[in-house]
Amino acid sequence: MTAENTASHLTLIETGSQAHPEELTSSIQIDGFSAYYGKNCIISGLTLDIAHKGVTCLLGPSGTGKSTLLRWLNRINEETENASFTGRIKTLGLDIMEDYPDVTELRRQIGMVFQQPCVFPCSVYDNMLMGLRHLKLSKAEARETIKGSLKRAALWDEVAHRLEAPAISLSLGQQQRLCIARALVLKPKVLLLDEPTASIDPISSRAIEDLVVALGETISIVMVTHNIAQTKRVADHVVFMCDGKIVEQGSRNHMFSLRTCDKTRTYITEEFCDC
Amino acid sequence: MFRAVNKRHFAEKCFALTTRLSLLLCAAVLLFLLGSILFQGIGAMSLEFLFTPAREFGKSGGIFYQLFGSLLIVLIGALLVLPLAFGTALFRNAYNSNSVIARVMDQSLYALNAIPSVTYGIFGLIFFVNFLGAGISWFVGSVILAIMMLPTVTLSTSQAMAAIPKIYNENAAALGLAKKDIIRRVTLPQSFHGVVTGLLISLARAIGETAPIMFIATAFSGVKVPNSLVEPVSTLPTHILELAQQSTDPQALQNAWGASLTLILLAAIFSGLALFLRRRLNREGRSS
Amino acid sequence: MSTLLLSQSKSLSRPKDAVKVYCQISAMLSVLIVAIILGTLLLQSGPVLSLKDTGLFTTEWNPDTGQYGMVPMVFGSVFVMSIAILIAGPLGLMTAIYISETRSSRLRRFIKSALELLTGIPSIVYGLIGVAYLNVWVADAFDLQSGRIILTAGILLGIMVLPTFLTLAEDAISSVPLKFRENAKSLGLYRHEVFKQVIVPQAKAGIAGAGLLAIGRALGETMAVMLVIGSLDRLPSPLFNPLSSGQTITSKLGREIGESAFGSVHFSALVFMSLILVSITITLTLISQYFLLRKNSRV
Repeated sequence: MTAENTASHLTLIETGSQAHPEELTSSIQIDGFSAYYGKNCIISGLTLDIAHKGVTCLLGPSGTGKSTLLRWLNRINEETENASFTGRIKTLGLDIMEDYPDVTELRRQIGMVFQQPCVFPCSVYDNMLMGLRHLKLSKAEARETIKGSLKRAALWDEVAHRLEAPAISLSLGQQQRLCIARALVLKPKVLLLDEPTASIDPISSRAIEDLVVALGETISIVMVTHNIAQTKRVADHVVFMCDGKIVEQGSRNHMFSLRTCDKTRTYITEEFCDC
Repeated sequence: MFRAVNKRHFAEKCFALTTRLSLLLCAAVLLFLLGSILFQGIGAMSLEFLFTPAREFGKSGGIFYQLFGSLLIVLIGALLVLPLAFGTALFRNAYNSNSVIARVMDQSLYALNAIPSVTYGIFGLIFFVNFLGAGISWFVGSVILAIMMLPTVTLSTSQAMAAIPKIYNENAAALGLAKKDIIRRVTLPQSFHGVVTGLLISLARAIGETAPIMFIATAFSGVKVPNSLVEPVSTLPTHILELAQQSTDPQALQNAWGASLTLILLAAIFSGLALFLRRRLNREGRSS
Repeated sequence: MSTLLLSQSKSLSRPKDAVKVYCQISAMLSVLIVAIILGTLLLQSGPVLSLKDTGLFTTEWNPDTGQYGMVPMVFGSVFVMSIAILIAGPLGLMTAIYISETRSSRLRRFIKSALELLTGIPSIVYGLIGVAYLNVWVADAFDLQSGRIILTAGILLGIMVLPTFLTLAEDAISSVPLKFRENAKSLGLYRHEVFKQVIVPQAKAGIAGAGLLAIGRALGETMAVMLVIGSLDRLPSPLFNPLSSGQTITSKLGREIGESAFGSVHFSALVFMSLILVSITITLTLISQYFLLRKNSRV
């Protein structure tokens, strides 16, 4: 990767353009990736390409390293004690370690929303402002950006009249959508979702699922879930993981057909029986 | 836009550097403090130093009676505070956990903790030495140290009592046990570790106290084992104080370092025991 | 008092409740002790307060002429405390940030136990270190005849309150749940921005509590300050000259209580100063407890 490339790429992000380099067909390329906690190997030798648009679901039982993988994509796992990885991850053509000496740059291009809705103890508006404050935007610009993001997150109609209310007063489902909207202000190319509906009631979950599908039309979304029905509703592409390895991956139609391998089919159908 | 990012990056570097430098500075201070006490103290330290009496106003000889006096004062103080702290904590938790009285008690304990040590000395001088006419007496020192230990021991006991799962009390009550039996069978065994660790921690603190006892309980030289409650003793902290004031005399300073090391080792023994017992008794408390 | 005794005798009439009576007596004693201490100090402050022309609020202290001006001591206490906080505050806060951010729990545990070790060093030993080292270094650095000055006392006191402040500030910062940090970092904030925008708003009550407690400790500290401050009952000149010798309330008390005759006006003036000191430290501690507890109840 040349310096020129890096610079042009950065400008691209800073101006928040929706364009993306034509030559890239995948937003994230993972190559020979292994993740460890101390000496414990959680993921071994994983290789995966994630499309530059659409929703990719990482599906699989708990404890198979889905979240760990996701948390390495924006290097938030660096903050965890004893966590390390080997292999290579490229986002939008850039290596997340070598090409980002400053991890903050990386995180501004890859949004992330966690399992538990986490709004900061301040107003809705200030929550939205959190990632923007340092761009030195004018008040009007900031307001426009925030309004745009809230609209994209389908939350604008619900909070337009209470932007100054404490964010904690929103319902849990709204809080989670606020978290998504908050990540969207930076106009990320990739959005990571770590079981975003796990702690939310079914009806609010559906609202978030609809939102995820809509966002998938413009950006690349990687979502960890172990909810099969949800995967069926939102995924364009499904990656089934077990014990730190990819068992099988493919389009939604493929994965939910009966042409999959035994292991996948068992997992998927058994869950169906439970539902 | 780019400049803004660079400026932020620079601020981040400064921030990281400052936090790191602060840590290093703190570590340097720590090393210096412990290093100087250890280095200087070991030169003076020997079995003979610990077990011979002081001579020539502390310049030569050892610290035997000072060691004895310090231990006497704090251990008797611990004995005095034990029943009071336990009763207070019990009252707080078993009888009056949410009333106004409980809140007043908490505030009083915090206030006791806030009173500067020298004020305890003045209070002791007025109230015990003069009003009650005890004179300069080691026992008054013990009483004052007991008062100073009270908040720590009470709060530690109280926390241990509050940590007992409610279900134990409810089950005991459901078996038809009276309140005092519940206290004896449930509360006492389950909060015992709180009393002991609180006592040891406050012992570690009390043994280093100088200001509270220097007017009321100690004499500098010519004191041996007291024959009654109303005689003064010598203690390590007051001994160090006297020697430190002759800091131009290397011999006196040497003995002051030796006494300091002894004092810190005693405090460390009490703290170490507290840590050890907290772990062990915690485990026992849970398994039983 | 009489009602308390009454309620006691009432419960005494029921022999079953011996445990309860024991608890009540203990609790009452614990509360009474504070009252007795404050009452005793107030009573003994009487003589100096009832006299006229003692000049309590002047800068002149001279027992021989009946002048008991406390201003130099009060000023000295505040001055020394301010230097101590200027040292311990920033240093403690930045170190606390480092500790709370570090990934290694082993390093954190190690630093925490080292800090506990530091709080275990008695005040008199700090004094000895001040006399033997700091004193000399300060004198050399500023080319003074004696290092027994306000600055030395301030530095020593700063080192002494550092562990207290550091531990409590670290607790306050660490009590902000990890998820807030992770969310803020995912938004591409730098660590100093995470600290300013996310940690401080949530931890400020705890940090303030830690600061107030440290101030209280610094004001009440006696032995170490007494040994290195130089014991000069005058205002420094110029006023904010840290290289001058001085006197704090506590060092004054430590030096003179033993020399003054019990019951004299001199003694009473000293007790009155002590009363003022106690009122300040108790107030500070109670406020800091309010902050520290509020922090706990919120998380």
